[in-house]
Amino acid sequence: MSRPRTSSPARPMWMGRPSFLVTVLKAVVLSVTVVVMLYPFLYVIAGSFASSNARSEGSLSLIPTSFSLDAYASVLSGGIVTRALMVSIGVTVIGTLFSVTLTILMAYGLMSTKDVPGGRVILYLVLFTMLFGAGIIPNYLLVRQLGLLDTYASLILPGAISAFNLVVVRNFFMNIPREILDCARIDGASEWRILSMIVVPLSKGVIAVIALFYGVAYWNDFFNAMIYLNDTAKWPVQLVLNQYVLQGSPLTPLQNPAAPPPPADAVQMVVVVLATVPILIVYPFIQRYFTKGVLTGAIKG
Amino acid sequence: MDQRSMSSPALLSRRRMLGLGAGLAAAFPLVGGCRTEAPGASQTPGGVTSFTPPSFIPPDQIPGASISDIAGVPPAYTRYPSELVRSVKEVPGRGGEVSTFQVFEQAPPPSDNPWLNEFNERLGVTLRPTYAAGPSYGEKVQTMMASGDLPDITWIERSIAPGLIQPMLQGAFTDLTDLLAGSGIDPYPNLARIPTYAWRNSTVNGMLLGVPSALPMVNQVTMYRKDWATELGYTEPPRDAQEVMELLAEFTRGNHRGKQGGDTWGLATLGHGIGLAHQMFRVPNEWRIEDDGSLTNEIETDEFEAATEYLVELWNSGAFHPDAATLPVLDAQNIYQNGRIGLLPAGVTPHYRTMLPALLANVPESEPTAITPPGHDGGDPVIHQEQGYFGIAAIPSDVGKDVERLEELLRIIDYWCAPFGSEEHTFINYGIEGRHFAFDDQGTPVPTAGDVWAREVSGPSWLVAPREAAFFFPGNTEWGVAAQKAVAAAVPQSVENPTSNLISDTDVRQSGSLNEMYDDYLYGIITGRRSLSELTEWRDEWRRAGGDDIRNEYEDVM
Amino acid sequence: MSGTTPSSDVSTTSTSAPPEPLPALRPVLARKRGLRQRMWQARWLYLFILPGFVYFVVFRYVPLLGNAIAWQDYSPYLGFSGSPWVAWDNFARLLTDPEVANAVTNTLFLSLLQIVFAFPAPLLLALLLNSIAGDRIKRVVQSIVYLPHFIGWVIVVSIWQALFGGTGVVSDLLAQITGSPVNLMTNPDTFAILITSQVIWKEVGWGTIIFLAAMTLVPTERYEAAAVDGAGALRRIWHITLPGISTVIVLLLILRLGSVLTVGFEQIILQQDAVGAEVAQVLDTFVYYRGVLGGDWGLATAAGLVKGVIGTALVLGANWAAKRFGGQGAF
Repeated sequence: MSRPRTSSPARPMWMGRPSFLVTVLKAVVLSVTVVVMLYPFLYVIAGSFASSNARSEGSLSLIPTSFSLDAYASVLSGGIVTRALMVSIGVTVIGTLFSVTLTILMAYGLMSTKDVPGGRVILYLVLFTMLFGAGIIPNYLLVRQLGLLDTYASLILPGAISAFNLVVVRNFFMNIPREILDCARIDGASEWRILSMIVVPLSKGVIAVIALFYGVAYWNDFFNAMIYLNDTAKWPVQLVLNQYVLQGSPLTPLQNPAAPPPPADAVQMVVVVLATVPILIVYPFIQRYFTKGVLTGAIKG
Repeated sequence: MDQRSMSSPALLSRRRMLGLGAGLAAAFPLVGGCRTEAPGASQTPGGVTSFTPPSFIPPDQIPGASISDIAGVPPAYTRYPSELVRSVKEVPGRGGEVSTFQVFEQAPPPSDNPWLNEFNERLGVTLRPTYAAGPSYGEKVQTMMASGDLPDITWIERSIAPGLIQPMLQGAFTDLTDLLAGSGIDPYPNLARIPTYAWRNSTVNGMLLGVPSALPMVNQVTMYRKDWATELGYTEPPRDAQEVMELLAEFTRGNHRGKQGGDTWGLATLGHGIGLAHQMFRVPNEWRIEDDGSLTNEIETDEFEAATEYLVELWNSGAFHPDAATLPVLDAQNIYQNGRIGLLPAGVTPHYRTMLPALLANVPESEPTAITPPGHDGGDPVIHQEQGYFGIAAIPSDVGKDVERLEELLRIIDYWCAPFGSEEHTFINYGIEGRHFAFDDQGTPVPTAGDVWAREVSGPSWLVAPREAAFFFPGNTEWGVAAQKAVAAAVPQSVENPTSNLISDTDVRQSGSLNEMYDDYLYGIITGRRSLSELTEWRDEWRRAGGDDIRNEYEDVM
Repeated sequence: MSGTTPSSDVSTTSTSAPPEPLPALRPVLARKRGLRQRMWQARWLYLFILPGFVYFVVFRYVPLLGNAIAWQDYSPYLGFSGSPWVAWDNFARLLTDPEVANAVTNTLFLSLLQIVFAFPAPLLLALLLNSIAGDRIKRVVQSIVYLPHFIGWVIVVSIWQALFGGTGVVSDLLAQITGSPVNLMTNPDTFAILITSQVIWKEVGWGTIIFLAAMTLVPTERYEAAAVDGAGALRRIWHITLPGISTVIVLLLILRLGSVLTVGFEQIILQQDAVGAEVAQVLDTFVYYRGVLGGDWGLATAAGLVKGVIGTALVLGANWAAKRFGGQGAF
């Protein structure tokens, strides 16, 4: 009953050919959406190349009145951002692997609470953490007590599992036809084998999604770093970049009159660009897992 | 569960900018007042245990110095002294480590920072700084306090973390009142240069809990575009509120050279207009002491009502930028620097050090000129004194118990406070010659190109160094005297907030929401969202929401 | 839904290994066996759960103890042990504040708008994307629409300001049409629409991700079968796609209900001054002004707990309702 996978962009047979009107309508809706979403981003990019304050006058010009790399030079000079990028990449990669692994294991363990005495209670315990949180003081005291202050682990462990992601993954797992798993059990497969050989391959989509969620969360987080890291050499890129945004503030006491710093808002835009580019690069590799269907039939057969 | 999101950095930095960049009075009624005795000679505010400030050593009459004889006016310098004196005779530290907690709004310095290495050598200790990224300051300092981890020298900035007052009153920091009173300051000659008002204003309930980083007592200068005014036919500065309104409306409407660059406006933000109107209409500096000794809040006064009525008219005249209610201060400054705003009040040093050079670079023909706003009726205005200090360098009480350690830390702070014209000041502010700065042909230290200075010196050195309470603007040395003149003109007309160093528990808890109410009503009335008659409702609501309690608490301690 | 005795006694595993049942019989026998055997049987699953369980206990539940300061007049200096206990004082101050009613009303109104409009928006976009045959177009579009998610609120607001503010491009256009100045950013009457539109704009693309992932799970055979029956595109969506991802939709909706008292704090506080507290005061901004700024940790914590209790009630209620009406529920 398996069918050859239609991997080419060609239209699957069952989709049929939409009418001309529908095609036009879709094209219009999508184009408008794309423009509305893309325009501000181009605006940010254009702004990052602005050399004077001329941009901040309310005109949403995509072409800066004068082109300059000053803001980039100012942010990237000194190697601090580069170093912080390394920190962030490390934390993001390790943190994401760690989080995704723990989440998958726990979600699978809790998939069928019928089979796991106490599982339901654990599930509710997890759920409550979405609704009740602790303030920063108890969290800080805990991290300090565990000796994690000023360690990279303090950027990973306190947020290692998101209850939301866990519940989502579990929900996806539960959508896998029960018979597949039961068949495997009858065949004598261990739970580990079922998880790794059946459940995970069938859930590439959701795993890609939570990897993305975790990855972006680790990447964007600067709150933990701000509170837990005193050593500025360990600061991740978001925290460092955040500092540049603050630079326009009144504490800036002196400047070289011959070479004034680049406009604050250009720096702000540079920060957005630098903070987003790595995600833009990685995104397409993850995206393919949730935009392309998995043929369950193929596996069943 | 949302305390995390409460730390929203953007928000706090916005508040911070509102609060400090443009001068507190313009944006927040955090500081504010009454008619008092001549500034500088002010008496101990009533009631509170009498506070003897540390003795004061006036600035030295070095070449290029312009020392005002009006108390409370900072010195200005037209050139950098060619011979730098040594203000500290001995190495202050005794080895070992000293931890610090500093606010930090810069890119982080390299871990092996040449400037810090040299500073350590000079201090005879190894500094272990903890940098709180600006917006996280309040949370981080309270979190470290909760864990008992407060560094030896901790920066306390109540204006961005009002809640700190509670631990301060509970004894979290070493009380320096007796130690430094009068001649007690003598072992720390640089600290004796700190203006008396800064010491006094930084006390809480008569307790001196740290060394203040001084700001000018009147820290606001109002600039207007004289070139536009001249073209519009106003050759003299406006003499009353009506003329101010006319001028501001014309800045928006009229035909002047600023129009070549696009739209122009009289005022950028509502906060700027409010500050201006309150000065012209002589609104009290937050509170006024009546003859019977009772307190009246500014919003309860007729002056406030008149100023508000005026602001409504001013709004309707088109003087304001259309986004005046929300425009962040930084954006407002940008628009001003691009030559699109006719009048702008701002902090003295930000104005002369940053904004004027930028404006003149963008619009070389502009003639920004400082003015003192007129009284609304042509008489004198009332200028609001501000808190006169940024924050304090405090020593946690656990640390300060050890007297020797306490003295060592004070010596380190003393070094940090080295006055203008000293070798130490040059090092702390400008860094190492050759690496961070070079003397130009007039002997002015100028930061080297690139951002080595910004990275290695500017952030790590920011603590108590006197940066804004002495006017010296490298590259534009004549502005120092101009700034001093502007402040000197304002100080005699200024009043202090009679409650500025009193503590009201309700005020601490409620200031956030009362300030919000203030913005909500005042902005609403000015922009026409609310009617002027809602002022009555506002006053009632304010009294109910804690205003009366605050009044009673202040009156009790006065 | 299970008839098992709820037991939190997870760590106790039986030491005496009972004989393994035949694998084929396992599901059948599971219910009939004693607790110990069932636990032993699930030993691998417990092992899988263990690291996560430890994480939740250590990093989520231990700090929760700190919420006890909701019953204290907490001072960071005096610490947990030194701060005075004030019973329900903080809750009383919170709930009797005259402003809180307004804040809660605004919060609920904004939340409702977001659930009605911002919640389904990514679903619709995902359905649209899913209906595109060309994989490349689909991916390109999808990877553009998620971009705004990465722009912080400060910049989002300034971009909107530049478009819709008093000097904005769109405002100029509208002003020319209507003949009077328009400032959509300062109009209290349209504030809720403004906030909801911004949320949709910023998060719609990001939100598609999870729905698209869910759609990959719908077996292709069903579409093929439907095509054989002659079902059109809309009918396929209605009868196959939506039912296929309904559990995910229900799950997300239930979880969203749990945060009904939370609406974008930063987004709102940045724009609050322009329209006033009457329409723009929400619970989080209220707590911020009332509690956080004044260092009133007790009050802020009490507010968090109240939100948690209400969120819990809503989540459990919605979950119950979802099951009641034949769904699977979230858990």
